[in-house]
Amino acid sequence: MREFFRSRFFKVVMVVLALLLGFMIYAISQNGVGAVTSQIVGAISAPFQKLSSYISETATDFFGKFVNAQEYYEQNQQLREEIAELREDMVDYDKIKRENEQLKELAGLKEEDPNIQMVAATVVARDPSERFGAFTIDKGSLHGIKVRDTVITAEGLVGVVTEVGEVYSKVTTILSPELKIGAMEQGTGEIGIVTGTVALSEENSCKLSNLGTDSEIKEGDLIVTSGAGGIYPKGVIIGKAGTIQTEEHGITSYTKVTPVFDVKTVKQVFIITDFFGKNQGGED
Amino acid sequence: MRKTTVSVIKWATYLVLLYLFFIAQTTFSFLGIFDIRPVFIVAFAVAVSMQEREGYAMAFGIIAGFMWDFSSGKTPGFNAAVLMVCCIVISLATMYFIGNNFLNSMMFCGLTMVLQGLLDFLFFYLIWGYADSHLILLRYILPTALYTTVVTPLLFFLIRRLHNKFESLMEQ
Repeated sequence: MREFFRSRFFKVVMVVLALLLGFMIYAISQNGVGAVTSQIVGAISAPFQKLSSYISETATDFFGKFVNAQEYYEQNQQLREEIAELREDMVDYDKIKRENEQLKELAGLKEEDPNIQMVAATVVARDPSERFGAFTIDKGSLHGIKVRDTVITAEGLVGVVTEVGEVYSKVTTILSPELKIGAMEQGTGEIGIVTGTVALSEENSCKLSNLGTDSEIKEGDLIVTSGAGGIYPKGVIIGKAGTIQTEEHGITSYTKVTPVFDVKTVKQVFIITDFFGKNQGGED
Repeated sequence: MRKTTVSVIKWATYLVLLYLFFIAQTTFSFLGIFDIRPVFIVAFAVAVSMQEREGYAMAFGIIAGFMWDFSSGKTPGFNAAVLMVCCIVISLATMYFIGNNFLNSMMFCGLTMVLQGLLDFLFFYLIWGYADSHLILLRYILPTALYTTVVTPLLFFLIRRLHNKFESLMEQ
């Protein structure tokens, strides 16, 4: 063993380890721009990942019909119950009307802001070791995407671009504790901060915090981006609020926010590359 | 066939297979069980390290690690460093101390995954003070290590078969 630690090979290993450490420090200093190795792997793998992703989805859909038959049956039952509940909810006309206006606002995002620029992209990869639903898309800097661009679907906010290569980008989702998003409930106008937590990410949800203890937000209210800080456009749906709960320190309260779609399984997204008021502030 | 030519073909085959498993790892969502999927490239790197000398194992560990860094969004070099060290240790241990069989490949893979998982947990979750971060260890890191360990024999037998085939070609 002592001979090994005195050998030339051991010295080579130490030098390579030191080089890797230096490379890590350099990569961190690049602030979201993909490192050389990531650019190489990304450029080689992007087209194959797209093809493989398509094959995987086709296989999943085919076998899923048989494997998930029981699940589909349960979902069917659940959906029937939800339909019944929704019929009852129709009595609450004002609430439905307000939600409808919110949805219209997202759908009409482009009409309201003529400066908004969007790029459509496909999710091509998700790593098994990723815990908060982060994924890779098939568009990068060559398509005009930059770090911190907002990522949405037709149903609402997905997350933000955190790394950009020439032909790929990495997206961190709203389930991640790394993101802090200025948010508001449009009905009451109350503002707060949406962020992910480890526990809530299990439930495909995130947390709206910094609310007053006298918050009037009710279960089912729609939470949207406030637009403060210029990172996210105003009015993009984040999700539906849960019940208000007081934080342990008792000074503020919070609520669970559940997106109206499964963030961990989105396949098609839009990247907002420009909008009115972008980068007009220092929010992160 | 010349020994060098066979060696080049062997390493080219290993790299192509590593790449294919990398693609499968990041796209085959149907392999998921409760959101857990195996990390093929670790099992692959372990299997190769058990058949090859420490210098080659080191290089292979670095390549596999950089690929994993890319797909997982970790700081480039993090997994490369971890896999490099693990692959060297596995190669040396198989050469001098431990038998070259599938049970040991499972043990090596399990230990590599747990070591990487603990370092990942420490540097990317625990030190940032995220609430309930232990859930990540229990819900994702350890089950992923277990799932990867379970699929390791498949890759071990594949690589050992390829290795023996190329060795016999070299001896001709």
